[in-house]
Amino acid sequence: MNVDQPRITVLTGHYGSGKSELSIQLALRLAEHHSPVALADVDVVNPYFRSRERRALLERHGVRVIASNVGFDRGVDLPAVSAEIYAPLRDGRTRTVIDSGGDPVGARVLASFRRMFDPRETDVLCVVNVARPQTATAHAVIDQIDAIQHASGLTITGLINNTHLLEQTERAHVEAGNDVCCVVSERTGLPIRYVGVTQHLWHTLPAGVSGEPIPIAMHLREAWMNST
Amino acid sequence: MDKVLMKGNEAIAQAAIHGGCRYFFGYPITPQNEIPEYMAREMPKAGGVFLQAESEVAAINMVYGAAGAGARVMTSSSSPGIALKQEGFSYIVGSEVPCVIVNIMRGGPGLGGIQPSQADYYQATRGGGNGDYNMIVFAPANIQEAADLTAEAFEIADYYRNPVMILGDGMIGQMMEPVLFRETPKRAIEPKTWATTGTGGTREPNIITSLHLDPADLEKHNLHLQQKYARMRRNETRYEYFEIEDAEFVFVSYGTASRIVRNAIIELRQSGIRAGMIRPITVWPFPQTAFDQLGTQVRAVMAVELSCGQMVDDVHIAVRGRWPVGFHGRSGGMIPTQREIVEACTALLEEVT
Repeated sequence: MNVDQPRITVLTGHYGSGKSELSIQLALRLAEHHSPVALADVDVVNPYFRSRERRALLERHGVRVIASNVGFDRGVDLPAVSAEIYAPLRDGRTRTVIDSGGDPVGARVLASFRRMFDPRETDVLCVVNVARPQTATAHAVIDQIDAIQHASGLTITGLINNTHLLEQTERAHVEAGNDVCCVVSERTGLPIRYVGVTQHLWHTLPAGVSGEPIPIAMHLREAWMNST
Repeated sequence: MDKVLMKGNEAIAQAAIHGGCRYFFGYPITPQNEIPEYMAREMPKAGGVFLQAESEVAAINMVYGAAGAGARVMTSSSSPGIALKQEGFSYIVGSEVPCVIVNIMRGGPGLGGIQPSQADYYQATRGGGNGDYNMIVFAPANIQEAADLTAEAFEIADYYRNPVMILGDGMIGQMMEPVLFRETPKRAIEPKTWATTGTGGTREPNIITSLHLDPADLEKHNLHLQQKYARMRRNETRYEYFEIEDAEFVFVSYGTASRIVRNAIIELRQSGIRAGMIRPITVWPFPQTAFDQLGTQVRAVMAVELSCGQMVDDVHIAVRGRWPVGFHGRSGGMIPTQREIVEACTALLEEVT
């Protein structure tokens, strides 16, 4: 991972685009090179498959996990975010990944912290999976970006092409995602920062796909969820 | 790209529209909220109506009304919300109008929790509403199956003039998988001459009712319904065999639980225990005949459920004392591990040896 990566990375995007998996992955990678590292899960929309469900794994790797102030990591869908989130945002040294809820409705939570983000040390990335029907075209992705910016008060600074169909992903899917993201990039000026790659494609990823490859490890999916 | 990546709830909603559903009435509850959310966005685009009712009771009665007018209509909810709708189910069956009902189950009893559960098996197959009523209940185990069955459910409901239920646990609603929306098998459905569509001054009014005050008339109506249920038992029972051919140990499991059992079977076979599974795809009608085809090598049968043991009753009925029946379940939103299922199997095998 790029050492010049801004101190704070905010992941936004359509729900189901892969924000939580990528947040876990980014936080674990940061923790290999940095300390302290924190992951703030501010998803108040989704009831299942939230990054805080992997608190034990993350803490084992030295990642501080910040989630709800109610205290349950599973089983509560209350709109509660712990005030603990202010600590890493303010201390000027904790590398922090913020996993926001999906869609503008999930991103709205970010508006309450927006004044605490210093644009010079914050990357706000929009995760894009064009296999999700609501974000299948460049036009739809740009609409999504506009709506998330409007709801959160933040300016998106980059894209993650996270196009996949889980274990059924083929190279053509990643390439189709790249095509859409390139058009979005051209029209918005946003760089494609990362490309999410499922493990079985890791060694066959075609050249010419934009973004730094980052493995999709599927930390949130149990073995029995394999869809092949 | 033909396949898309969808949450179970989204796929069920899209499949309903794909299956001709044009009316949706519901009330929010986790973990099925993506269904009404999707319908609110997409149903108007399909020329249909989405309406969030003031309560579950209102929603199911709106379904009753739309179904009586001959529309393809659906409602969805989760466990306690379905409990509220059951009065309506009974009326809809009694009046012989078709609709599709989705229950994305959460932990109970009462408000329970929002994590996945299969503790509404009795509610779905025995019915909390009054009277001798039944409906076909599909229990998908993956998102593709959920989509296919939901679309087909509208054909089947129209065919029998009876509700069809899609019974998924919270995991089926919330997890994501690739899904393809394909051609739905069509039934020979007679024109809905019984629907209340306006007489146009050319015929007597149609009446949709479950009221039969004359006991002889009501009994006749009940016998007619029973004949219909018998046809459903004969023609609509569905199940999947997994590694059953030589199985000495037979699991019975549906929905999410069956996926973990499947992995447990692979592990058991690697250690030399010949395990297999009957996976009911319809939990009503329950696939009793699937048990009659089991070989003489079977030593024990075990139900695995996300409940404290409900389908296991149907397993006992189907087994008819031929083999010992065990049970393993987790409840409240807890999901069994592959390991604990393997251990439950070996423990029961030791017990019966």
